[in-house]
Amino acid sequence: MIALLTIIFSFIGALICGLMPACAHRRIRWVALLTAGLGLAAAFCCALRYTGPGMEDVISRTWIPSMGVGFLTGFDGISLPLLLVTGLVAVAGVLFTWKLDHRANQFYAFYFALIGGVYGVFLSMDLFLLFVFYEIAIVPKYFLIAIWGGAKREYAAMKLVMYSFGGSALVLIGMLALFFASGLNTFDLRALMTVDFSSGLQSVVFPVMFVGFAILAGMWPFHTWAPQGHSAAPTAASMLLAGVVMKLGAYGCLRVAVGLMPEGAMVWAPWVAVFAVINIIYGALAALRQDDFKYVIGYSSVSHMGFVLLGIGTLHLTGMTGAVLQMFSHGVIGALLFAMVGTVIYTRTKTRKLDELHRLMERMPGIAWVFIVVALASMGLPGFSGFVSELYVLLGAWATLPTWIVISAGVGVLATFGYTLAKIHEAFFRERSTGDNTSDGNDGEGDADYPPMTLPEKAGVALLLGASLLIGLCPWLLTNHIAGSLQLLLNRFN
Amino acid sequence: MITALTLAPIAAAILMFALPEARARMVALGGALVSLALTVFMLTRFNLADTGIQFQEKFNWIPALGIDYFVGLDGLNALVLLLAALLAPIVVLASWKHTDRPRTYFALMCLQFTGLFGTFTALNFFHWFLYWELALVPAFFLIKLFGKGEERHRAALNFFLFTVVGSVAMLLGFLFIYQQTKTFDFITLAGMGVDVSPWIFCAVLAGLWVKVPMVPLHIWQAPAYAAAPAPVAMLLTGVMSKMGVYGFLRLVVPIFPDHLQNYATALMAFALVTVLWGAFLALRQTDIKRMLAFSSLNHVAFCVLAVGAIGLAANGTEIDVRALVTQGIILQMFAHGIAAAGLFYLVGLLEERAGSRGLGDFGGLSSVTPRLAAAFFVLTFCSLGLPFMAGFAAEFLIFSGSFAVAPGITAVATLGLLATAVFLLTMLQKVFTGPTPERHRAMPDLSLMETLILIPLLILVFWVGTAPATWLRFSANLF
Amino acid sequence: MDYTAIFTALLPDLFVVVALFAALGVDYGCLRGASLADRAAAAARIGGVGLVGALVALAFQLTGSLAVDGHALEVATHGQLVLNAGTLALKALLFLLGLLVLPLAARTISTPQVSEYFALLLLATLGMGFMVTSRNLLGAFVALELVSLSLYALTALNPARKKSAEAALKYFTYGGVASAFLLFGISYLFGALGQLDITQATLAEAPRLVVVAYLFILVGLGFKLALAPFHLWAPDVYQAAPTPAAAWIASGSKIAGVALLLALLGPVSLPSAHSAIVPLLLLMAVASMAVGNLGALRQANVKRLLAYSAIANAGYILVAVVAFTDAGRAAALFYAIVYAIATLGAFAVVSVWNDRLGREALIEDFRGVWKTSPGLSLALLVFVLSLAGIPPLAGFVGKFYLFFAAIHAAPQMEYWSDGLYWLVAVALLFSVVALYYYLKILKAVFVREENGELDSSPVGLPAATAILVLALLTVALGVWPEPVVDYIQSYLF
Repeated sequence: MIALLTIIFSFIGALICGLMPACAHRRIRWVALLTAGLGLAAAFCCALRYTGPGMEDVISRTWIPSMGVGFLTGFDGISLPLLLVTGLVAVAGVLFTWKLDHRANQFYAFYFALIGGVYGVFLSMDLFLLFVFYEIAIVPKYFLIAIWGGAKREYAAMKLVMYSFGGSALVLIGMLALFFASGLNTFDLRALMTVDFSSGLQSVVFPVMFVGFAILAGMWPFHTWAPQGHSAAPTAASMLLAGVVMKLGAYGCLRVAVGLMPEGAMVWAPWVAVFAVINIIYGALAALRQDDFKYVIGYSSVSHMGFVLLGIGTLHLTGMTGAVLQMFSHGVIGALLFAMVGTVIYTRTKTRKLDELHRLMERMPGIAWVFIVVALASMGLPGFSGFVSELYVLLGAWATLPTWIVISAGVGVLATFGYTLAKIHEAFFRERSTGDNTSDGNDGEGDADYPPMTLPEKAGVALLLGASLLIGLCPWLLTNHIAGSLQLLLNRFN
Repeated sequence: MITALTLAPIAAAILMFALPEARARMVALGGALVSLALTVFMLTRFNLADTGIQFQEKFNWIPALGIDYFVGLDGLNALVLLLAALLAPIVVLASWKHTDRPRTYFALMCLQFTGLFGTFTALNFFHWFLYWELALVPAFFLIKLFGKGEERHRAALNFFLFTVVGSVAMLLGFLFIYQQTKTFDFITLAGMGVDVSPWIFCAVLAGLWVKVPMVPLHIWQAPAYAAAPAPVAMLLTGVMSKMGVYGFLRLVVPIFPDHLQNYATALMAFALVTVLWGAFLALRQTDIKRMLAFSSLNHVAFCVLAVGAIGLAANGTEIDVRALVTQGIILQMFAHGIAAAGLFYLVGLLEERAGSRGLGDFGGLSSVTPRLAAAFFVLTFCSLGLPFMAGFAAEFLIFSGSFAVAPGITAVATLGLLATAVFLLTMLQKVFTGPTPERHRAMPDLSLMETLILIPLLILVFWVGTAPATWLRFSANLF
Repeated sequence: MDYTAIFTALLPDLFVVVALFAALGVDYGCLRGASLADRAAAAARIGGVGLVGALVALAFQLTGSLAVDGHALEVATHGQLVLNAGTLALKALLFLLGLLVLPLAARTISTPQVSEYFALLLLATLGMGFMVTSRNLLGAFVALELVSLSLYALTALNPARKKSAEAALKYFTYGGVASAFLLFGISYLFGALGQLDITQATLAEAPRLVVVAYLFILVGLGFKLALAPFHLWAPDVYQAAPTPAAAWIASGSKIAGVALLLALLGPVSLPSAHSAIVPLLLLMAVASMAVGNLGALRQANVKRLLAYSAIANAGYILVAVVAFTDAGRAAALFYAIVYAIATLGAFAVVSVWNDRLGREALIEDFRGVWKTSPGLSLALLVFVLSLAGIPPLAGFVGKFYLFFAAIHAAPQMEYWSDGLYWLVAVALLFSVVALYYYLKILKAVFVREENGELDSSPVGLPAATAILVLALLTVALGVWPEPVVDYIQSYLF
């Protein structure tokens, strides 16, 4: 029941926030923080009580028996890290939007509706229920971006929604095919996992479902929604998008596509790996070419999600453990990067254009250093979670994938290093060309120091960076559970 | 205890943020001294008869992957750890007057110390790599933030990217090895003998190659050394370049004996090219710092030459050669670390006083700044390999060992030594003799502080040179 | 079979008829000089009382307190009155929806002929009730014509606007032709079956005569249901008709029409019999989805947009109809119901907004509405998202059930062309497109800033209640559809 509380708290929080008057934004943010905090606490309790490796905290109710649909929730070692990252990002998202006063009640209503949907996906053990939560998460995204977003927000929001919905359409077809092929008249994932679908069916349905989910995971060439959506979104929403929503897709790929169709997965795994590598390298190169800070981070998300896909494509315990760990890791760090760029830096400099930033290293040294540490963590610096997860993924890749894929992934890692450093330089060290200064005539003001981080910002950074560091140094906190549950899933591959 | 000494600087770095900015240097020095004290304490307790790992700390870290936290000391890393621990406080003292954002500066420096200590003591690839990268990042920012001139950005970036290319190749290689052997433990790996394709060997080599560096991956080096502030350059040349050589000793020699044997000649050839090319480039420089950078390239390459000799030696029964050459490498690391760090410090002082560092900008300084000149002479001669100084003892061991297995290459390499003599002496001549330019007549000599910093280095130069056995006993029982 | 039995059976309809005449009589007799608003209120009240009475009677019939011998009645009337738990419930649903239309109609006084307006609404409702309870070719046709004629007249009841009359004429002409086709088809079918009662007739195979008959029937019903390529009247009529009337055309007649379509397809439920008409159904399904969804993309007028959405949704319904299984029929009917509820709700909100504007609302006119009318905006959100098929709203379950049933008919999937997977895929593709224009409405409401001062005159309690009820139904059917789905499966098919 504790796991279910995450969903319940979120939706109740959404309702309460939505019903509060907009002018009470100071109270609303405390309600929001409380809601997010309760969700995190519930997720944390789940983590503490989980013994593994099977499904725990299972709740099973009939719902629409005439369509074989049940209300089935529970979690295992694969969902656990994702529940945690959702909780963490939700809390941090509230902290980083602390000063929001524009339609705050609606903002948090949509925000928690989205979070509730995300928790729901991670907890669903019924395919239909999973799909329902998957779709519930779509519409709040639209409004969060379209109402509170930045430039081109309406276009980006619509694009994001179209991609998500298109992906879920594919998922729906695959879902129905599996349902009828199983002959069990149930969407219960545990039951469906015991079915040996014919290999012909698997090889047809697997790509459909995988692509359906992977669109939301930002798989090339369906990734274009991601940078645009992330960039246009308000900070808390882009944190959720990058940190959690992209994980929905990857989670679906892993839990549903791979979990239910081992043979299909084996047929298509090399292609998954190829696309994953394209993701990694393409994302990194694209990030290198961006001029807008948020786009840089957006493409870096695409690149990092490539590692998740690569891990899944290995179909190897270590590699897939890495994939799940990378979901956690990127969830935490990607969200933090967006927070840094979207709130911490933007509210001070009022620009996201890299070439308009001017000597930030001297004008906001504290923030610059925090950002640099976060960027290095995202780059995969040993000691942070990103390194461990990439290590796992690459280990798995060596085990099952051709050498050139591994080498290409290595090239991708290097490209990541490249753009991270290049962009750090452009953002914090480069001086703006002097041409601008004369035309603005505000040299004195242009060089003023910026205020340091506020307390909520510091708390948010500490929360997310701490989580990354903790998992970077003690990955076994998560990997034991992840690997245990994945082993159950992989048992069918032999 | 090793963990404590490794983490002491990082603790200092954290402490810095709790104290006023002006205290940063004290804290950094404190951290470095704690590490030094612990190192010295351990070395005094070092059991010379024990050929295994001493002071080891080992516990299961990531059980699922069978990764242990495993640190320890043996003959291979004792001396190089001492070198790092010795230079740490010296480097902090050398930057005592640093005023630009001191907290950031010293915090980065402390992080770097941790990285260096960790790299030298780690015996499991997982956290060895962690420290290996950790040592890189602060260096990058130290050059980028506190370096001189606009090229510092490019220099730092090149430095980082080159190193990282190598590191990633090495990481991939080791992951492959793990996939084969299911262990990251250096000692276990050395014991079981790894049978992998030569490409994996090359990948691992690439990481070390860049760090040493060797031709053709050396091009990051001179700009980085030149752009770095003097104390950072001391660290780069004194300790970081040793990371690569130490990597050869720790990874290549024990884990890939067969590959090393097969490719020893090629390795030696590359080392030879590096020696000669470094000398050649050094001859052409007019910038003292760049010249020293190339001289450093040249000197460290001798170590790799010797590694090749170990590979060749493995053929026959010439076990003495292996021991001899290994000793030589270890001593050369130590000796070069001290001499090069000292020289870079002195160049930094010269630059600070004169505002430039071109060879032609100076002259006749021996009369104006006698103490500085004396220190410079001593350290340069040490580099040259003058008898009774550290460089001589080390290079003698290396050359005598290498000559036994590869006389041709070694003979040519000695030409490099000659070239070194030529350019270093030319430098001394141009800087310290002849007429003194007008503007340098009032150049202050070494202050008391500066002298005190240099004295331990000078003492060591002679101590190692006259009594190498004192130092070599740590690695005496390796074979 | 005595007349008491028929009286008991038709008691609900009697209430409606009495109310109809009472509304006309009171208006003509006592309210000559009263204001339009008062007259409308009176007529709406009388109609409402009649419908409530009918609903109570229906409730008694359903619970058995008012005994109806359905079987005897069916035999006696040759299937003209098929009263069982299923059809009675459907009739009750239609009356309920009709009841919810009344307060909306009472708000909008678009015509001086107020009592006629309400009488026609009641008459249409009455006809729909007969449509769903009739399994007799002739009875169903007559009921359909009752509905159609009332709706033609309703469309025209807006003399202030020339367009209204023009649209009514268009509707009438198209509808007339459609009726002719339908009647023609029915007569052929009668020829093939040899009887008017279609509950008893099941064809083993379809001779050419039957195929031609169904061709005509589908063309005729295609007009009525606004299925492409026979949809041309719909956008104009929806736009020009008084909004409550358009709402009733879109919702009530859709449910009744789908029920009639399913009944008429009854004789060819065997695969051997319907194989010849499936291509036509498929064509109409795909064409409707394409025309409806693509057409809606370009609309600026909300009512026209909803008209195109109606075309598209009729296409979705056919996806389940072509399955020719019980599950498919249940799904088609269920979807028609949830669609009707949502679209009625959407029209209700639009109707309120049209009143405030005093003209037909464009999407742009909804800008910033959330500020002044949060409740209305929220209701619109619910309805539109349900139409778009977003969980946890009824539209999602409805659509899922449609696709579920379509694939259930032939679930084997080894190649892409197996079964109805491709049709479901097309439907899903178009529902992605649909989300775009539905979101356009919501974007105006929630995202954009308002153009100028927004009118926020009160909605009025009755209309607000109607909207609330519809919204709650939409949510409830989405969150817990099982009772309704189960009921339809158990009692109707």
